[in-house]
Amino acid sequence: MSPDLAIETLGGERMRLNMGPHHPATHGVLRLVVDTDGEVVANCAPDHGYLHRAIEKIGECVEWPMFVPYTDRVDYVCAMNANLAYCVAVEKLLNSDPATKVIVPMRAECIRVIVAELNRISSHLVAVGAMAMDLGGYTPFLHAIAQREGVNDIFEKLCGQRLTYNYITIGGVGFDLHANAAAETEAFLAQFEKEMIRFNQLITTNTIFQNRCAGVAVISAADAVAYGLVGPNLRGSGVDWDIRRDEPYGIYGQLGVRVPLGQAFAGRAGRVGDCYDRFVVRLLEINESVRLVRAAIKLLPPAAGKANDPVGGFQADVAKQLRKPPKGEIRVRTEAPRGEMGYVIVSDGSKVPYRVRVRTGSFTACSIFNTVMKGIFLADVVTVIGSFDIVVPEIDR
Amino acid sequence: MSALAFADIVERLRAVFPAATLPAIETKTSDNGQPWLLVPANDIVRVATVLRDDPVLGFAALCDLTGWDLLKYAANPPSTDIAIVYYLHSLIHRHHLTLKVLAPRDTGTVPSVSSVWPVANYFEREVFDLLGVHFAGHPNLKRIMMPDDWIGSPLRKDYIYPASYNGIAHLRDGQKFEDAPTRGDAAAPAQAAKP
Amino acid sequence: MTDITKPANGADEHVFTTSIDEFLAWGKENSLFYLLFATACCGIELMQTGGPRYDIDRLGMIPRATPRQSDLMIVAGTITHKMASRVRTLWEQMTEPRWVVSMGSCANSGGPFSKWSYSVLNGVDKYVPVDIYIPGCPPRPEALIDGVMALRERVKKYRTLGVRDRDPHIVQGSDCAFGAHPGKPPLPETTEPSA
Repeated sequence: MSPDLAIETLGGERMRLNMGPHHPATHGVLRLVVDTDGEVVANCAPDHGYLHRAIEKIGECVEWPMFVPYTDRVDYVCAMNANLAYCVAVEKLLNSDPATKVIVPMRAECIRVIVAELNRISSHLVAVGAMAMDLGGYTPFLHAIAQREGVNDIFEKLCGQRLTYNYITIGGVGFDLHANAAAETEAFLAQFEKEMIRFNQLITTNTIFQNRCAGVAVISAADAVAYGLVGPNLRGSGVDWDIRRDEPYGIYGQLGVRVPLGQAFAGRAGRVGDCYDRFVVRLLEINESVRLVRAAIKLLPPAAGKANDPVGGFQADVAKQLRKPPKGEIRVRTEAPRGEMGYVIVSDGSKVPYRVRVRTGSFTACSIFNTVMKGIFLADVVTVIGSFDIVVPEIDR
Repeated sequence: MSALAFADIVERLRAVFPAATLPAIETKTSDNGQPWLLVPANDIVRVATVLRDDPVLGFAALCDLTGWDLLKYAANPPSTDIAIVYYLHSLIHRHHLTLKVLAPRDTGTVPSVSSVWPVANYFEREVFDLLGVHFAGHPNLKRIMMPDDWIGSPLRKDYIYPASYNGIAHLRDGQKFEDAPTRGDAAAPAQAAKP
Repeated sequence: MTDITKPANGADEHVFTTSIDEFLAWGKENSLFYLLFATACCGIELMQTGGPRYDIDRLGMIPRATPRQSDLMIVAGTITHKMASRVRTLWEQMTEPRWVVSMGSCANSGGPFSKWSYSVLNGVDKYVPVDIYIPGCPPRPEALIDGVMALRERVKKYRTLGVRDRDPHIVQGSDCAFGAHPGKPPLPETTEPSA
């Protein structure tokens, strides 16, 4: 629980500490300059850029399909969703001119949902596992990353990579599903559901964990919108917004995504928009993703002989369109596990983009850090960072 | 709870301002048919406040504030400005709006909208860092991505990559690339970021 | 080298003779505590390698949060210019003997960012001496374990007693002396961001 202290009451023992850029609990190379008297935080200023790899500038140097591996590196924990965000944006740009229209085959759309939702499960496992680990619960984290290996196995058979897939391409996906992909996925999901029950018994219902997270860093809905929070952070504050349901892309409109909201899950001490709410919203989203994977497998049309068949193929022919795309600009956003991933693509008609801009959820989550951390205990800083689920490459790109 | 089309949003915006103080906004369309609103730099805070507070418009969410250098974009007439783009969204009404402010390249100063949408604090710092546009009234306009002693605005189209930083050369011994970006001495930049 | 698993005289199989140096090297080799240092994607694979399936804990490798308690720094991920001086600081804080494994293409040579990025260091060995390079983007956990096994061969050769008198310039146990480094890079002033 956060104390209700005015900053002025902090004594003369105020010190300025560096949390990071190397710190086990900052989820990467994030530096926080914390002013504290040892118990209560007076000021917390983030310092970014330690992983700024110039991905947006690279977008102006490489050809359209060559940028897809770099989108993996924008958010490597949910690389499929990051690939998807860029490819959906480029396809929408191509569709703004009937001469360069792209029709993504239905089978490819279903495969996209399957891999994106499996990756969402994998990403949220890292989020909840790392948050538990930062608060001292090392075992749930190990269970979480053991489950991730199941997802990694499926992806490895699919595209050869465990982490940065370069799988979803402009116009479809890179390879068709392997022989018994659907059966393997279903087997994974079956044992995963049992494991999640055990995971929840381990950590979610743990009194100590709930007490550490309940009522900490409460963010109101208005603040969440004003500070640009997106994804589970926004929904944890009770704002009912999910791009998969409200601005659907691909076949998400047909699947009917159900959206969990924060409801002060921690009981009497909990508030809507506290750390526990954000944690539980992610767990509920994992359940929803399991359902979406199964629904997408049901909708999967059988494979056709040709790769560019509009129903049974897995990749439309886009090479000609990408050599001369329409001139102009577009902004398209998709729902990545960390929230809205908005791509602004500016094209000057050549085979190299003019500008690629990625707006990520973690970047704006950091904009509320200083506001939300004023007056909380030093130990709660770790709770807050864990509940926001930031990955530093999304912040720094 | 009704989503407005672009033309209706502009009409409502013009109606809300008293006639004497109407800002000189212009509707434009991009080369692929996307509509946007050009706002003069001096009026952006007024327009932003109205867009956020008016109940029919209700743009409470600033989705993105970014920019790009128009130097190499083939347009008629060609421009050397930096385009600052604001993407707005209303969660209640579910409509969107795109605003643009054109900042002159060398002396560009745009008023900050961080008093209207707090998230603009971070977005504007990034535009300042990478494109070199100064935002007047920003509470903490410092570089956010690059080190504080970095010279230049990397996302500009005429940016010259540094050949070394802190005495360490960028390329390894024998590392050669075809068509690599030209690298120059960081001490003599093409342009410097404003303090 | 004496095989410490075979008894000396064959009579009592519970007696081993070896030299102190080899015994200490055996201890170091089988308990390499690594610094939990991960910047980017390779960090996730490092994490998975420490997880239940690949489990480098069975090799005696436990992650430590502080460089003072680590023997090994696995540089997993892209190192940018802003981060590079901190990597050097961490390496200097590690107590000797210390080893560095460069994991992944970015730490080896800049990786996919080596050509077009203005802010990525083309290889962490510009700032710290590296013993083992593991290629991959990211390397599989098996590849990381393979690299660690190669490092253990090096660690086995490390001699604790009298090392400074015999070979004053070799303090790492590696085959080559660390002499080709361009020199200690300057550390920038500590940047203190305000609110």
